Parts: sequence; C-alpha cells; structure tokens
Amino acid sequence: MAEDTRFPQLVALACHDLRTPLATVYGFARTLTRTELDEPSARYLQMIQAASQQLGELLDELALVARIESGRFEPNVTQTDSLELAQSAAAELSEERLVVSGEGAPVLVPLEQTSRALARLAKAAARHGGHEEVSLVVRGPELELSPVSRSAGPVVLGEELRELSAAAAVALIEAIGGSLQVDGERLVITLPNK
Amino acid sequence: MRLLLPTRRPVAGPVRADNSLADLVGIACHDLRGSLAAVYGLARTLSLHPDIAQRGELVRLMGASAQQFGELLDDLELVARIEADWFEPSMAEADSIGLAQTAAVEPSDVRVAVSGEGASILVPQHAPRLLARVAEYAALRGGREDIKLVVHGSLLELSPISRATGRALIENENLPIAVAATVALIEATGGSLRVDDQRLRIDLPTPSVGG
Repeated sequence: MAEDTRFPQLVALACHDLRTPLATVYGFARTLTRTELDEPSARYLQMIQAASQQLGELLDELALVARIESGRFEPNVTQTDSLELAQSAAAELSEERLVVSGEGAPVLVPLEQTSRALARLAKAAARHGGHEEVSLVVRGPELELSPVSRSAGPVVLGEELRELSAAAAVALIEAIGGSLQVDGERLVITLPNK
Repeated sequence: MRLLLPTRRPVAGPVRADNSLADLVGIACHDLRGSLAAVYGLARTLSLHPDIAQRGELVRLMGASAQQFGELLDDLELVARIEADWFEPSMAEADSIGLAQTAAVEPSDVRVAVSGEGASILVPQHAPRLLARVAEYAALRGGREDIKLVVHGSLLELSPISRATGRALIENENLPIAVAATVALIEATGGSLRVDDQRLRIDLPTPSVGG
C-alpha cells in the first residue's frame, strides 16, 4: 500500500469496523423501543437511538474525508437549484436556525452531502459565534453565510480543527470544485456550476 | 449486570489544520467519544431499571458493543497520534510471559497457547488487548481457531502464520484497526515485527534499550 494512501485507507476501514458495534447498539435500542416500557426507560432508549444516529453521521463524515484524502472520492453530482439546496440545509438543522433568502441558480453538486455540508457550516458559525440564528443569502452559485465571528472564521474555513463536521464540510466543497472564503463577517461559499 | 466505562482520554485543545488527516481523526475521535459516552451512560442507567430486567440481555449487548466501539476509537486515535507525531508512550516495565498470558485470557474467538520463558520488557497501555487482537487476526485469517505464542525473553513468536497473513502484517495491508494499531505501536516504541518461516516474530523493547 503506498505510504500516502495507507492512513486514509486505514481510517476508511476503521469507519467500517466502527459501524458494526454501532449497528448493534442502534438495532437493539430500536427493538426495545417497540416493546412497552415505563418512563424513563423509553426516553433513555430514544436518547440512545439519537446518539447512535449522531455517531453514524460522524462516521459518514470521517469516511468521506478519508475517501477525499485517498483520492477515491467519486461524487454523484446532480444539477440542482442553489436556493433549494440552501432550504434543504436549513431543514436539517434543529437547535440552530438558518434563515434562507435570495435567488438561486443551477449548481452541480452531490445533493445530500452538500446540503449536509451547508447545514454543518451554518451550525459551526452559530455555535462558535454564540448565535442561535444565522442567515444564508443565495446569489446564484454563491451562498453567503453570516454572521461569521472572528472566532468562527477559522473553524468554517477548516483552518482550525474544532469539530469534524465543519472540517468535513470544507473538504467536500473543495473536493467538488467549490471554494470558501471569509469576507468581513460573511463566509462566501461558491458552488460549482459546470 | 456490569458495564465498564469506555476509555476516555484527555483531548488536546483546538488544532491548527495542516491538511493532515491524522489531526482530523484526533478531533473525530473526540466528537465520537462524546456521543458514545451518552450511549454508554444511558445503557448503564437502563440496566438498573426494573422494567428492563427481562430484556437485560439486549441492554448488556448494547453495553458490550459500546465498549467495543470505545476500544476501536482508542485504536484509531492511537494510529492517528503516531501518524501525527503526537504520540508520547506511557511505558511500564513488565514480564513478557505475563504479557503473553494476559493476552491469552482476553476475550477472543481463538485459543492462544502460551509457552516459553519471559524477560523484562517495556509495554505501553493496552498491550495485552492489542497482542490478543493480533493473535486472533493471525489465527482466523489462516483459518484456525488456535495459535501458539512462544516467549523467548523479549521475543514473542506467533505461529503458524499463513503466507498471506504474514504479507498483510508486514506490508500493513487492509489490517483491522486493532492490528494496524499494534503494528504501529510496536514500531513507535522501538520494537519490530518480522515474518520468518510461518512465524510472526515480535521483538519488544527492553528496559535497557527502551529506557
């Protein structure tokens, strides 16, 4: 195995190995929630399911970065409207809010992964900037996320590793030919349209 | 019912990215461990509730899976630390036959028959578990349910090792994470591995060499 791809491939294999015990936890929690349980057991099981789902999403993101790093990422791109993509990202967020406005244009992206990446960037901007709500203004293939505080800037650019999700989002956007740059309090995300 | 807490290690603060996947894996392990701790803690709490008692086996298996997940995370983090040159081994002096015997009684799908004579060696944390995973991998990949582990001082010999298994171990090819972590750990702590005539020879650092 070549030295430069050995570690990414190992990470990809690790993600695969980690899914097995996770599937057990998730499957059993699901089975138990279908039986009659008293409180708080039922609530605890729901929390186990939610945490298991979150673990699965984190593993997806880690596996994605490993594929990108090893040059084995082959995005399944589809033409979509950038405004619809932004709205889909907003729908993915729960605790933080993403307010979408502007005018869309066709972009060529892997739909689910890009929608999730935008949601993760919005979440990072909100969390690291101390905001409950951020906005995403769509101007054709350019999406402007704001406010992005000074402390959130390096995180949403992938320059400072504080959370996997934001770093994976940056890796994805760059891997599909897009770009990210901070301009004042805005993160400008340019998505590919060719 | 007893559920052991998964290993939790102190995590470094924010890391400046240098496009290193190893750095990212370090952060990922931290994020994954946060959710895992929730799963683990809740499973443990659930196991104490009376309405769960009849379904205790499922909860026990959930706890065991969460523990396995935690160990895999430890292994992944270990490889990432070695890869990123953050690894600072915490070595303890031990007897090699004691290490082999402890590894042989680790939960495993194979039987490990230990023999030989020990010597003083330096071992890092998790060494018995990792050695057990290598023995298990070597046996199962060779289609066996048992394997010999012969101790010659600081040299441990696992046999028989099939040619394909030996090649995979030496070339670090598609190894399970625990086995890859073991190979990386042995090399990072001054030990070595080689395959010779159906035997995997693991040279472990001794206090005079490693200390």
